[in-house]
Amino acid sequence: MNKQDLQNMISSVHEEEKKVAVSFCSHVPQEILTAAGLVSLRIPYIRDVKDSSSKILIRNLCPVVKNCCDICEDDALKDADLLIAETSCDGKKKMYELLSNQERIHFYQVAQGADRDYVKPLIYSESKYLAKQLAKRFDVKIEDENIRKAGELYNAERDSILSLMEIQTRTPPAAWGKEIFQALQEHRIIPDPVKRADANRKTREEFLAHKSPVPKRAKRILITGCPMSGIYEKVLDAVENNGGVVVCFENCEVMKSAVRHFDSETEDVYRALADCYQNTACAIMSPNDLRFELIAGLANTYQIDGVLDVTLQTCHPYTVERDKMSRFCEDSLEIPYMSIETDAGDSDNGQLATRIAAFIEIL
Amino acid sequence: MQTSLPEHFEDFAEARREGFLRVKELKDQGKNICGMFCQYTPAEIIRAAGLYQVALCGRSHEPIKTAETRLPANLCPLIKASFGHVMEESCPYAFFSDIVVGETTCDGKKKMYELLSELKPMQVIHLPNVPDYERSLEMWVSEIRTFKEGLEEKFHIKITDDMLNESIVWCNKERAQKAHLYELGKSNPPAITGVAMNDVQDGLQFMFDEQQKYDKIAEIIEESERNWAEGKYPVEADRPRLIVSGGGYAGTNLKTINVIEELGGSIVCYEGCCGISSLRRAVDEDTSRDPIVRIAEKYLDVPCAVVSPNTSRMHQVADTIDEWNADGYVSITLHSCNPFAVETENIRRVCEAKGIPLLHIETDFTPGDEGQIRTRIEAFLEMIRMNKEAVKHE
Repeated sequence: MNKQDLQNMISSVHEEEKKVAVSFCSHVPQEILTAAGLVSLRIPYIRDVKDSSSKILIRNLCPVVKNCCDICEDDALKDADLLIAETSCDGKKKMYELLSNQERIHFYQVAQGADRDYVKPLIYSESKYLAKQLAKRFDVKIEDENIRKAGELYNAERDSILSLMEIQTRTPPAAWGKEIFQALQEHRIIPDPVKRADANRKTREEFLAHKSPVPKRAKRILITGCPMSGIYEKVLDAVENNGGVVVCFENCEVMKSAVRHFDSETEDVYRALADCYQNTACAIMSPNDLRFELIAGLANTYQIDGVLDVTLQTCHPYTVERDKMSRFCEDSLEIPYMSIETDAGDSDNGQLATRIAAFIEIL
Repeated sequence: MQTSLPEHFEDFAEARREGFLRVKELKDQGKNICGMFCQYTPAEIIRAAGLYQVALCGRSHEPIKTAETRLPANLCPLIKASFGHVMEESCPYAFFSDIVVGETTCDGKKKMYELLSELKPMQVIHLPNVPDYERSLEMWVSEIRTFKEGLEEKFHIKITDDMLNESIVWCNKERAQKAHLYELGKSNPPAITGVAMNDVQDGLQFMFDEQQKYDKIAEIIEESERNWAEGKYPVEADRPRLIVSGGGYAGTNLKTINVIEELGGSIVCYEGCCGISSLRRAVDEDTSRDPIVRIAEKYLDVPCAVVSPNTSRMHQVADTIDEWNADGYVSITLHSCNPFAVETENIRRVCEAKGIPLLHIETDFTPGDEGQIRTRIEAFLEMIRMNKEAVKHE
């Protein structure tokens, strides 16, 4: 996505006389935004926005947080009606407090674990609070039935991502990982979740209609770690030009959010939301057992040869979790593990390629 | 004009040096020790459980190398030092701790605790992120209750409401006294130096007889006030008056706060982590209400940089500047400490509105940047003196 795409999206939504809510994290329950009649945009890394972060933020900070700040302060977002500031990691939550237009921000509180008694009630009450605030802010009524419908809509989108990823379980996998990630990335600029799901399904069919371009001997890599949208090209090139193929992305743009399910049979829709969003294998959770379970499952389904943990510089949740993750992969799963730490620049491309090539070689 | 420090100050420095002997004595007497890291840890509950609370080491760069074998290098030195000490068994307090209490304040710490809990018995309390009674009190009460029940189970004790009520009253009394110590800085010249204030607060953590501790501080306060009334001041008047703020920087004291005063600044108050923030907020003493809820309310009001939006801290910064009549603000943050470092920008805005300058020192526990910090402090004090001169001439 570039700045122009974002601007076009927002103005096309406004032409239909609808409001735009933007968010940057998969902890945010989009169902409520949709049920409130808003168009919910989840924004990935955008390269060509104006730099504001270097003036207001410290330098040693995760590139996603900096980019998020740049996007929010850029003209491209000036017409967005609402910004959901989720209190996920320290960098992001503190950054949101420094943005110039505080009026349009809603702070959404994220739980810090998945296994405590307070977690589901907190997601429940924060969802309700969000709904209440939206109703007040935009003078709308948020019916439970609309949340239920939105839940089904997002389920369909999640399913479409799972089934697109599923084509990689074959031998050889049906596509290069980069092609799949790229397709998902492009589909993000479609504001309507129904059309996004359609686009994902269409891509799956297209890949399956052709013979796989991936050689059988390519080593099957699972990527896990930080959000990838700002760095996927260089990382995936380094893997796929050096004898590997990415068969699965555990990251929050792909499996982490897609494995969640909203149970539309649950009578209380907010309870259904709490059940759905509690199941987020994010490193801000402490302990983050869900991520380990998810990776164990994926390693099996996708017949993984190696795990590549991709972390962004100064992302404390994921970089500290590496110690446990490496032990888990090597000792429990007995799968080779490597971690890299990178940022949105390209100065480490050569180094990444060398390290990743060496890793693939030993597999 | 310069007088020597009140004699009791030495007791606090000694307490820090000999703290580990005291802890060993307590252990030998069969007492239980609770190691902790953070002001969020509800002291009332630990005290009511009959545990002795001690702050774990985290101010040396020596164990950092060890820690970096398991933690990323780009992480706050406090987190690395704390973990490295436990790995190396070089922190006597951690060594003697029967339980270590952690709280999910910042990302780095909360994730480090997952590794620490493989080495020490731990209880981790989850904190709310949004400081709002309506949204967060319920979860916070549930976490504090879980903590209390965890201690009861581990130590086979029962913590009754009466015990909590008694603890609440005592801890409130201690807090009010510590706030009083900072209030000595309000006069011009201040009745106590910033370095002395800090030494006392710091030494306190290593004294375990609470009544003795209380009496000693009372003597210091009394003596400082008496000296001041008699015109015996610890420093001359009209030094640049500074407020020092930030989190976890005790390991940098020698190159930061000591240098500030050595170069002619006066630290009149501390705001932030170990500062006035949590001291002026007491736990409600109305015994007709559930003590756990009252404790939760107090700690939810702590304006730590880990909560968002932290509007109450910004009000507090503004109020502290006014009340202590500050000429400048110094924010000391540790490398990779996202909450305090990012929030410093918001504090800068408050200072700007108040018309005073802010100096942001980002550092760690190594000596490499001593010279650079000294130069920056020098320039900062010089600028304040010039501003004050200019105002005088107008």
